[in-house]
Amino acid sequence: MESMHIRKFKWFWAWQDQKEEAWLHQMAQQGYHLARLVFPAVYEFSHGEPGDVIYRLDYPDVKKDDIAVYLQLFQDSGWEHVDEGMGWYYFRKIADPDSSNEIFTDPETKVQRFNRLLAFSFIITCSLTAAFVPSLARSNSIIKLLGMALLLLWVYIVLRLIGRIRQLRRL
Amino acid sequence: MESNQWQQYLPLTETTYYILLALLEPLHGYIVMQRVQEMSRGSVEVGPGTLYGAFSKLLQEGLVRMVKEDNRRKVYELTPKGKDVVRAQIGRLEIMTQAGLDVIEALRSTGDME
Repeated sequence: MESMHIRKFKWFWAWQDQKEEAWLHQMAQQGYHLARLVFPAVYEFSHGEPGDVIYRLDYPDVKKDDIAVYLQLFQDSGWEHVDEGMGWYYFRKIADPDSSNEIFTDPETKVQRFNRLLAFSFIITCSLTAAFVPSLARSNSIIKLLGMALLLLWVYIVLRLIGRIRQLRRL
Repeated sequence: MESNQWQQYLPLTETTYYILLALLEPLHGYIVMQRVQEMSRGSVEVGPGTLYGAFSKLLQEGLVRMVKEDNRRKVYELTPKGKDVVRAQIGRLEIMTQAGLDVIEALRSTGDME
């Protein structure tokens, strides 16, 4: 009875964390509870009782030998660790009317995740620029086009992350 | 009076202030969360993501230190530097509170306030 699993493909960008959390919450309200992350953008759900389950995502700065300590802290405060993918940790708990149901409760730490993502994306963008621009004259047009598309994508990612950080700073 | 050497850490955020107050005695994360909630009479809640980030920062700044790791729970306490920073913050808060009380007193004497 219990083990009915479905898979869903859905893409969320890093700056769409709230949208992703809301979607996972909606799925839970329909009885689909996140079981694991199969691949990036591929979610596996198990079907069960519908529930008011809150999902929260973290992209923590945690060293390998400190992961157990990090997870224990969440567990102690009532958050179940579901899975992780590409550096993102997925937590959930049943909505508690006496709590904010947030894993980040002050503006400074809310922004930190995105500052790290931004630093990472900025490095990638710079490396791509350094690798791609000098070869412009030599390479053929397909490589130029692909290189340009890739570079534009990362510039876009950097800009959207800056947007999300500014949005959080205003709160 | 208040020494200037702690200015770079001040003002502490409400969350950081209460975390440091709680760590006057060695405690692990979840107990810190509960203490903050009690001490602030429910006005400040600390989520685990925020607390984990705060511990990393406070360790780096040398305001707290880890005492021991016990069953995947790290126990922290204030360093002498952390105590000085908290004291400096309390000094500032006293000035703020007194300034506020003075204003209320002045308003009362001019009859604008009950």
